[in-house]
Amino acid sequence: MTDQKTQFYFEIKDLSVGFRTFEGIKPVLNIEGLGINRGETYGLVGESGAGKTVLALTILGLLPKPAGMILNGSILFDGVDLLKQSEKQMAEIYRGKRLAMIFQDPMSTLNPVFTVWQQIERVITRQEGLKGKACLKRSLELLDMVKLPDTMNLIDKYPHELSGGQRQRIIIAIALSCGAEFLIADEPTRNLDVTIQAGILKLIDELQRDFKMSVLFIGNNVSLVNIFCRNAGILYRGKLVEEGLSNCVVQNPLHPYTQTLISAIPRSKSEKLKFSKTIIKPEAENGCPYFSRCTIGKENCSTHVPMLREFRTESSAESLNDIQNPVQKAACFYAGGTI
Amino acid sequence: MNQPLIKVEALKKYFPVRSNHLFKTQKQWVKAVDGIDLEIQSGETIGLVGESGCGKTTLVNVLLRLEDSTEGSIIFDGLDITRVSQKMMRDKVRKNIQIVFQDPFWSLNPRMLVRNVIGEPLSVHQKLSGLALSEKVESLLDMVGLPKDSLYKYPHEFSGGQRQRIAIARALALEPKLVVLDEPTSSIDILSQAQILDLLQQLKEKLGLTYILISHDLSVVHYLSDRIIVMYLGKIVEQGPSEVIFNQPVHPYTQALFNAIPSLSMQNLSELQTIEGNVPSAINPPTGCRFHTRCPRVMPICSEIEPKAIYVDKDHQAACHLLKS
Repeated sequence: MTDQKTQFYFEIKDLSVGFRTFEGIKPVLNIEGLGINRGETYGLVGESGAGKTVLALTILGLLPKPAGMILNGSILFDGVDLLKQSEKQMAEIYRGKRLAMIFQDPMSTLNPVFTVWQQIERVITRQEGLKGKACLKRSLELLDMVKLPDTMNLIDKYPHELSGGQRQRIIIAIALSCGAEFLIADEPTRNLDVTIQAGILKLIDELQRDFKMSVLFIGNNVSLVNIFCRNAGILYRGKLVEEGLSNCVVQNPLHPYTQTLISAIPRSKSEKLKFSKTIIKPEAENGCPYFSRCTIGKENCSTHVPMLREFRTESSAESLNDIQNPVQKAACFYAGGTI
Repeated sequence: MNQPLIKVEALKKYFPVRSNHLFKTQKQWVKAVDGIDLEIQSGETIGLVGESGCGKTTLVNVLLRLEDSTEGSIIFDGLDITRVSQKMMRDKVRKNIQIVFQDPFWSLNPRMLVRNVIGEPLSVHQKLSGLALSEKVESLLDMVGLPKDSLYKYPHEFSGGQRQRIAIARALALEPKLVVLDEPTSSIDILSQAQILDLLQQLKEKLGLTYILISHDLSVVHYLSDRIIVMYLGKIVEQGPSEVIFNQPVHPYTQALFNAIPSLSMQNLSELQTIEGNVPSAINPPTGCRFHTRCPRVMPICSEIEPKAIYVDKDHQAACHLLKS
């Protein structure tokens, strides 16, 4: 098993990140392990405040300093620990070149006072050193790549003249302009219509195959992650509580939090929604992060922190032919029981 | 059939846009809502569905008379509210139609205590003050499941879901007949969403409310609505009972829209369908059927003649040329 683990193209080990506050350092992220193979998609699901975006920023070395602190751990990318790289190395070698990110809101990530061309040119000139005609040619290629029509006209427009879907495509073009190997997509379809969402997802999927990229997809929609990603992880209060093949996690959730999350998706009128009431028990400081809202938690949950354990369930047995990830993992003492 | 609670006939709302060319100033119109007929029975929940820019919010604003309509009539409780004076509107109509806005982070005044946020409609319409007001607000807070000590807190002290509860309490303070829910859960988390949806459902049963629900999350619409109206570029393309629209939509736009929603039962990205192209401009909408520029099953007739709404079934209407054959 240890041999396999070193094969991960991208791996997070024992990462813990905290924020400095007046009351001391508050831990926000505590991930024992998370691995993504080359060319794979990993979907990270969680509520707002779970630490999804903090993780993305940590990977890129963009954590606000000095408030954000990396307390422990390592992020290995292609054998190199990103956390040990200097800011200069990150900027020159990794960020924007080998690691790319698509941010949440296409309405505000483009600068409103520059044309599309000016914004693409900046990135290409800086990262690839292209100028003049060569640069224009490359920009048009990029816009073709993300399937925008009429690129010659489009390139001189300002962001406000474009629709949300077009803007998001331009952002994807800019993000992938330098042939990234690892893409972080932070809720890339959040403010878009469903009809446009499908188009953007298909585009990312296609580009991922073309470039053989690994993708870390951050989302709060479980069904979207299920369709889009091979593996899924559920983040709760900065901890991974469940991990596995995405359709195993969705069809057979083991952790009570995942179960609540999935049953909270409204389906139809006839099916009643299940959801946890707001905090019923006091917080357990040394225990399971989900203890206060958990309905099956017993006493030992408030004193011991459950680690990710491997489970072999029926649905994961079906996909056993895939050797690399034969199991589903959950961090709960009583995992597998129903609420 | 009973008298409908609200009856909308040939409702139009055009916004003027001026385009200044060098030698001529031309006045053009954005046809945000372009001829809508609608009946809502008392006690129903209507789901209004469509892409952004299709006129859902404008329609609701006109229904609440936050905007004046260009043409057509809205009969609410036997009164045409497009014609009545503002005073009449305030005294007779407004307390019966209330709205819960999309984003609870913007819709609550950050400098008002919860007591005043919820109590303002009561002090205006029922002239309540002092202890009577506090008591009434307390009972409203209790109804939406917030603790009584929230009374003297400010909106920033609450989470998104709790703020939306405050907004709901405010909308229900005057015991309205019709409540408009404009994307009530789009800015809150999935677990709070489930709680809010459950609360809305309970309140509806308890108080006999009628809802108009706008949402682009179709699973929310499916959960709450009795009847669904699908809009495209200012027109209704299909309407009918919720289950029918979800299971057997007949209009190509509705079909495309529903195939674009990711659901738990889907396995692959290829099951998700896209609609090509963008929503055309509402200034110069396409001739004939407005969807013909993007429709996968377009026919020559579609660009020439505008399809009329026909009954597919009892209560189930759609406007498409495909249905004639």
